[in-house]
Amino acid sequence: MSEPRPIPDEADPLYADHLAGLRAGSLRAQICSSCQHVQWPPRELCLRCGSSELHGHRVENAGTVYTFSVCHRAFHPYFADRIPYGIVVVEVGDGATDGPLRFVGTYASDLSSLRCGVPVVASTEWTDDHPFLQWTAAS
Amino acid sequence: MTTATAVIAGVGETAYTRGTSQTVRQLGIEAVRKACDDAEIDAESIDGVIMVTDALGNADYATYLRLRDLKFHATLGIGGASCASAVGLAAAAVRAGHASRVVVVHVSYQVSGGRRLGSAAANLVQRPLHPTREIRVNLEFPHGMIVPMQWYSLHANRWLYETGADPAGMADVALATRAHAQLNARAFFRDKPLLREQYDASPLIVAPFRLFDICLDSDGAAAVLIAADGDTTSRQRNVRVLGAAEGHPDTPDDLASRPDVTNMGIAKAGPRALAQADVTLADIDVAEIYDCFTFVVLRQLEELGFCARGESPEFVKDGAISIGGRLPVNTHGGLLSQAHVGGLNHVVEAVHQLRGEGGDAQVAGASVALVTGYGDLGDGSVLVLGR
Repeated sequence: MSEPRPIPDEADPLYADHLAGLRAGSLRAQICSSCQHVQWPPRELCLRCGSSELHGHRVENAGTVYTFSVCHRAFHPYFADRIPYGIVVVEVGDGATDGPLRFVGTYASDLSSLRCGVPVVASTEWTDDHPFLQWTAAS
Repeated sequence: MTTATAVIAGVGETAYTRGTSQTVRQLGIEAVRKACDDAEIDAESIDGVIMVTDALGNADYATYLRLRDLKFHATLGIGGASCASAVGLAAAAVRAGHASRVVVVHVSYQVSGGRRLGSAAANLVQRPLHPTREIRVNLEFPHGMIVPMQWYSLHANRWLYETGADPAGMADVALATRAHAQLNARAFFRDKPLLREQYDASPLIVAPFRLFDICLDSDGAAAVLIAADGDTTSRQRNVRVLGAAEGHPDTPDDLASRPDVTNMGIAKAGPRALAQADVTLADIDVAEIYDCFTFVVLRQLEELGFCARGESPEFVKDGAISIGGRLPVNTHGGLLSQAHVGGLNHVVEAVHQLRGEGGDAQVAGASVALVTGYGDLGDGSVLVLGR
């Protein structure tokens, strides 16, 4: 039996809301209730005002590929049968932020279509009963 | 407070191998002893030590070298930017009168310690600790983003997209520095010249990086002794630390999500170090540029200001970075072709060049050298050394 896919730390409270969102099919970042700054990745303090009053915040589930990586070598046994595989950094627009929001995820479409600027849509990929963020080229 | 000039008074290197019967301690101590011999001082008189990995601690050096009185120590944590930064810190400690003979040491044990390019370690807990581990565990490992070269490919792909740069610049870096390794007695790839056809045929590991775009893993150690000018007897061979600086990228704790994924700390460090040294880029005779990847050399040349963003492939063409060219780069072969010693071997090579002891690789009349470091999520460090 091959190695299972690496999973997030489900005991980490910082990521609980985001994972719950993935399970429900929505993309969630973090918002500061003091200054309304939206940030991702989640952090223990608001990077704009320093407040610890941070909560989950749903964002658009569509964006564009800002950059990407195509891996031809497996650095973990789970991926040994899946090379080459694509990872994307997707920029999601959201009016509440004062900077770009970027999400890392798996690229689910054909690698020949993968380049900067491609519009993509988020969805949840289920592996071993765990949810993972994946992005598919919008048609 | 003293106003002494800080100099590099001695350098030492072990053999650079892939596989060794020596232990981490034996390598580290050997390198320090060689640096002391080079500086013509007793090892026991060292009163400061800066380590650039956590392979060994200050107590290891104090015990094994029988240091009479260790007054200063530090361990730096900015990956491959640590060595150049450490020399700057050692110089600052000496100038402040905090210690008088500070050794900077790097030990690599990547081959014998089991961390190699191809190792698909199932236990991600054993991975080297990078900044903000929870971002790696929760957002990157699940998608198969496991090793630093994948972060750097995010940078590379965006750079190619924004600038239209020619990726063939990477090949020119690999070929030029492999040619330099043919002239270096310590280079692992001495006697292994690299042809363009071999480079082009080499496998893609993480696009756009091929096998020959990626540095060696090595076993070995290097040490550099910093002292006050006049403190040691071998003044004739002293190399002055003219400028030293480090800089960090924005956002510092994450690369994938940062507003500009091409942002690099060296862009901040370069002007600071040059200003301290009171030199310009035109004064640099030889540059030892941290080369974990050929791509990282190209981007550092741009962010230092040797050429505009996107134009480094043009800058490195046609022998420009070869010995005898406009700006010789990595005259020892670098991490790509000499050995991975965290870039401390770049400091050692710069010292050889400035002393006129570069042998077949000597850059004629070299009197000012630039050394860089690059680490982790894009930390940068710059040293300016001179006679």
